[in-house]
Amino acid sequence: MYIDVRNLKKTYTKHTGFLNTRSFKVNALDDVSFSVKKGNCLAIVGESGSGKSTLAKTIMKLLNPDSGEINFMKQNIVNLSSDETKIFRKKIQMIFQDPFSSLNPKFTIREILSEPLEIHMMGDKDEIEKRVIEHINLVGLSEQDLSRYPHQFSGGQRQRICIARALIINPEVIVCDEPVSALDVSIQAQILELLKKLQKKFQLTYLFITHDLRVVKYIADEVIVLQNGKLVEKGTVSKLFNKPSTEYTKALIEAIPGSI
Amino acid sequence: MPAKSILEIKNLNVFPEKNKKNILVNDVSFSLERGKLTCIVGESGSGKSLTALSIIKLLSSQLRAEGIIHFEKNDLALLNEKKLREYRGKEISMIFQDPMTSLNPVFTVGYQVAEALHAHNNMTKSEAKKIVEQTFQDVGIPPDRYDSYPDELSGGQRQRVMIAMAIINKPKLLIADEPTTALDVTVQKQVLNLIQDLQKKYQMTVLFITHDFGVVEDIADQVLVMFKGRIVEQGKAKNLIRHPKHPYTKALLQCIPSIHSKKTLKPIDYQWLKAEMEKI
Repeated sequence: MYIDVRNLKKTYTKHTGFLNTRSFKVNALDDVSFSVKKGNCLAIVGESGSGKSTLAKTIMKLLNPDSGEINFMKQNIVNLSSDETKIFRKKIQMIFQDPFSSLNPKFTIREILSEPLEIHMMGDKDEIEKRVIEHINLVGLSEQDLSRYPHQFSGGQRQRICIARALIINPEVIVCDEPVSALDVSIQAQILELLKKLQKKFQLTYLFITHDLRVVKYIADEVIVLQNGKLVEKGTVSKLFNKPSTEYTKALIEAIPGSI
Repeated sequence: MPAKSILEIKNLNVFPEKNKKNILVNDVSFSLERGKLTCIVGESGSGKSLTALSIIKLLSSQLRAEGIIHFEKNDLALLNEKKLREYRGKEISMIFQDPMTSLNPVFTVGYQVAEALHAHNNMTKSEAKKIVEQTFQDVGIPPDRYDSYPDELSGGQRQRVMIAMAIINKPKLLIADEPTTALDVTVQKQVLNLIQDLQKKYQMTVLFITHDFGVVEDIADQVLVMFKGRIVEQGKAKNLIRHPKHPYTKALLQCIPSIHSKKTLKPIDYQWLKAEMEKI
């Protein structure tokens, strides 16, 4: 298996009450296991508090799990050294929900796109510039846009920039954390089309976090459903829609507004 | 004004005080049929919220609205602040998108809902408490939540509190501005069902603002589609979704991923749209 997650656990301590004097444990991930094939798109579905973002962050190594394994091409990435982590990070990139807060406002788009290349020492100045131009065109923006700043772009355009930044170091896996939830439907359609096209072109593997089952139907091959940190359903997308195995999944499907 | 309608808006324009050429709501006219649920659907910047806010004059002071707003027999546009207060929360109430920021964190939810009663009625605290607890039951909150603070409730429960506050004076018109957008789908479904139930129970007229055609299909009798400050199409909701006439409505509906098939999405081709709209 390409990505194989086994028995992943993560608990948080939550503080409540007056001056946070009371605390209790929350199981953000409770014994979660699943696997993904190379080139597939796995949708991670759940409502708020289900643990889907925690899962994404642990896979990205932005959080350490309490226990369990995350095997990426047969290597367990949970306990990598910092050098190994850097190599791993080159293979996996992330796109976030809010394109307004995930781009540094003081950087031009050129700087935003060159930074990952500089960090991973991928080429000299000319090569970097060439790659930056290539990738800004790839996401449907133009070379002139490179000297502009993030605030000069709309939400959909910013999400395109985030996609270009994620792709620029040739990753194999992209973790998309609700990348279209903050966008209008017409812009959502553009970004989904773009993501699908790029997946095909570069044979990318997507881990696609979403709460929207319409988006799942459109983009994913397989799906897992999380509820309160537990994995309650896994399988292909058509199985999820035709034969949901738990009441919770059924409720989620019934709650999709409209019949279109 | 047709006998059946409760609200009629004619030639509503909204623009910034300082830049009158930048028209945000452009010559909008429509009427709401009494006891029906009407949706305004549109993308961000289409002017749907501004249209709703203009009805009870809640626009920011930098914006100006011009036009006729007939509610029953009165033109709301001509009323002064003091007169308007008699309408707000009593005849016409509003629910907003974000229940987290619409409630005051330092007062109990019961107190805040009772405030809406005291503002329009002369009654004692205990009388008010009784009515609040009854309304809580109506909207599906356990009455013993009266003394809870907003942070002790979930997002869905907070939105129920906002709904309780809005309907406690039995308004004739309820304006709901994306009340379920911040909620999870299963909770959204519950809140939508609640609004429909209350609408039937109290024969309220509801103006519901949303960006989601799925929601429109589930709850609306009538629908208005807004694009760039104008109403581009209106009609019976189910019919309009099945047989859209305006090119924008057609194009927008093709952007929604289907739950039945993996059809390719067709992002809006704005040049095509512009050309099509010029033909009209």
